[in-house]
Order: sequence, then C-alpha cells, then structure tokens
Amino acid sequence: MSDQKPVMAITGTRKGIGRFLAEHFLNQGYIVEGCSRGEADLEHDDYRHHCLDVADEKSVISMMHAIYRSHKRLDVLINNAGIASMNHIMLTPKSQIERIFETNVYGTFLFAREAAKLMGRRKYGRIVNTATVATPLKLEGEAAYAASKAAVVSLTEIMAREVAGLGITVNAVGPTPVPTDLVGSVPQAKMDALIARQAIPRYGEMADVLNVIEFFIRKESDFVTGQTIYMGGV
Amino acid sequence: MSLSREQAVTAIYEAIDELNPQLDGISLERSEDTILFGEGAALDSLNLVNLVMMVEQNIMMETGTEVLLASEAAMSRKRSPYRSVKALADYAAEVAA
Ligand SMILES: NC(=O)c1ccc[n+]([C@@H]2O[C@H](COP(=O)([O-])OP(=O)(O)OC[C@H]3O[C@@H](n4cnc5c(N)ncnc54)[C@H](OP(=O)(O)O)[C@@H]3O)[C@@H](O)[C@H]2O)c1
Repeated sequence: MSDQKPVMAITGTRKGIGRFLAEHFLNQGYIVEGCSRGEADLEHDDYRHHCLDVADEKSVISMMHAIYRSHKRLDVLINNAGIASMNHIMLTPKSQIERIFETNVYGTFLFAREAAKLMGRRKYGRIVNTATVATPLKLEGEAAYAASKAAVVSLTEIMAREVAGLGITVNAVGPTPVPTDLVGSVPQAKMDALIARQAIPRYGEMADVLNVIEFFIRKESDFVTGQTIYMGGV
Repeated sequence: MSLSREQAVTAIYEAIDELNPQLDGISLERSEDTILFGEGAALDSLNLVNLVMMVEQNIMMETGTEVLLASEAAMSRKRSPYRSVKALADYAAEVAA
C-alpha cells in the first residue's frame, strides 16, 4: 500500500457496532465510507455517509462508484449492517424472512461483489462479513435470522476461494450477544440461557468484535481466508 | 451522460494496458479483433472478470455513465458480449444508450 490513507467501507454505521467501528477506524487514520438507511450524526473530515438500503443494487453500485471516484481504492469492507427478529417459525410471516434475507444476505452479497471489483484492481483487499452464534447454537426463535447468517458463512467460504487470486481475503466474525438495540427485544431469561451455553459465559463487547476484525484485516493475515471466528468459545 | 462507441473502445484499451503487466507471459493487443473469452482466448476467467470490471470503472470515470457490463442480460446472450474487444465495445455502447 502507498502512503495514501487506507479506505474502508462499513455498512450500518448509524448506530450499534457499525458506528463503534467507524469511530475506531477514523481514529486509526482510515478514510471511512459508511452507510445506513437513516442519516448518521457522525462528523469527521474523513467520514462520508451514504443513505441507502444495502439490498438496493443500484444504490450499492453508486456508493462504490463514488468511492472509486474519490479515492481510486478500497482496502477494507466490513459488512456489518444486519437485522434480526425473534419469532417462532410458525408465527413468522413471509415478509419478515424476506426482509431479513434482503438485508443480511443480499446486502452482504452486493457489497462484497462490488467491493471486490474495486479491490481486484489493486490486487489487495480485506472483506469481513458478520455472522452470529445463533447459527451454531441453533437458537430457537431465531430460525430466519440464523439461516440468513448461515448463508453469510457460506458466501464467505466460497467467495474466499473465488477472489483469492485477486489478493482479497474474505472472512466472518460471529459475535455472541453484544448489548445493542439489536438484542434489546430479546427477553432476559432467553439471553441468560444463551450466554450460559458459551465457553466463556459473558456478554460480548464491541471491542471483542473489533479485535477479531483487526486480526482479519492486518496485512499479515493474507494467508487467512474463508474463516468464521465465533466469539465466546462457541 | 452518454457513451459513444469510441469512448467504450478507449476504456477497453486502457484496461488492457493496465492488465497486461499482470498477465503471465501473454500480452493482449490493443485491437478490436483481440479475442477475450472462449476459444482462442488468452485470458483465464479471473482475469476476464478483472478486465470487465476495469472497463466498467473506466467508463464511469471518463464519461460519468454507470454501465453494468456483468448483468443477467449479458450472461444470457447467445453470443457472449465478452468474446472480443469489438463485441464488448458494441455491448457497452448498447447498454449505455
Ligand atoms: N448485537 C448483537 O448481539 C449481535 C450478535 C451477533 C451478530 N450481530 C450482528 O452484528 C451486526 C451489527 O449489529 P448491531 O447489534 O450493531 O445492530 P443495530 O444496533 O441494530 O445496528 C444495525 C445497523 O445497521 C443498519 N441497517 C440495518 N438494516 C439496514 C439496511 N437494510 N440497509 C442499510 N443499513 C441497515 C442500521 O441503520 P439504519 O436503521 O439507519 O438502516 C444500523 O446502523 C449485524 O449484522 C448483526 O446481525 C449482532
């Protein structure tokens, strides 16, 4: 990489983990291009916000073109935007599973595809997707969500092979529950039972997610691809 | 914001210039007859993908036109728009119109 500032795209930066990551990497000297459906109040010279739905192909392509036009490069993509919903499968309307797959699967796919186009040009890139422990723990009430993240893991593994020749690695981080709005609606008893199933039974913190991401995106991690690292020993 | 066929050819030639140093032992010619894909093609699939992506980006940078060259429509054509420089230029000018 040249001495120019590295460029990172992060999805879902209005709040939660994405917001935390954006602030962290801005402090580390990255140029951060963020997005979410809503406006973000993050103010920084090296931050630009794109209001878009990650499942909207045209908007994703436009954002990536804007990045290329401004910086001519993209070093890192963090596919963080995601939605969950707690519901018994027999009570889940089709529209709900559609919305979850659109955001978590199609959104991740579109961003990864468009990012790889920019990264391929410089033969360097790091893509990090977001999974969840709900998949390996087979969490009841989260069938649609866990299935969508299982798809993310599969995309990660196969895309890693398809873009390895372009110098791009693709990995995923699988967080345990981390206190954000996403888990706000899950009943406490359910949360306690879930956390008890981890090897290390505590809530995850945003810094735990960050730690795994930082490992994946290091230059030295060029031999690490197609992997999903679950937090908490799940 | 539109794209002439000439601009499309220029965008492809620029992508060829950029890709050539990355190719192992081969070099693509700046000619409309250069075969890109299929029988007699010099590029493997990954380099073809990379070339097509570079062309998309070059067109966008030079003309402000956003063309999607890797689309369902492109994949399902009987005669691949990736076959040669000429076919790709025709296709780019066609979808940008
Ligand atoms: N928190 C946890 O316990 C936990 C555990 C495992 C995995 N995860 C995963 O971690 C990621 C981040 O979760 P979080 O806890 O930070 O959630 P969060 O607090 O609910 O934040 C989600 C972010 O994504 C954005 N977003 C949602 N849908 C979007 C869409 N269709 N298009 C664009 N942006 C969208 C939201 O902004 P807008 O509303 O403005 O669009 C928001 O900025 C998700 O992938 C989640 O599945 C979280």
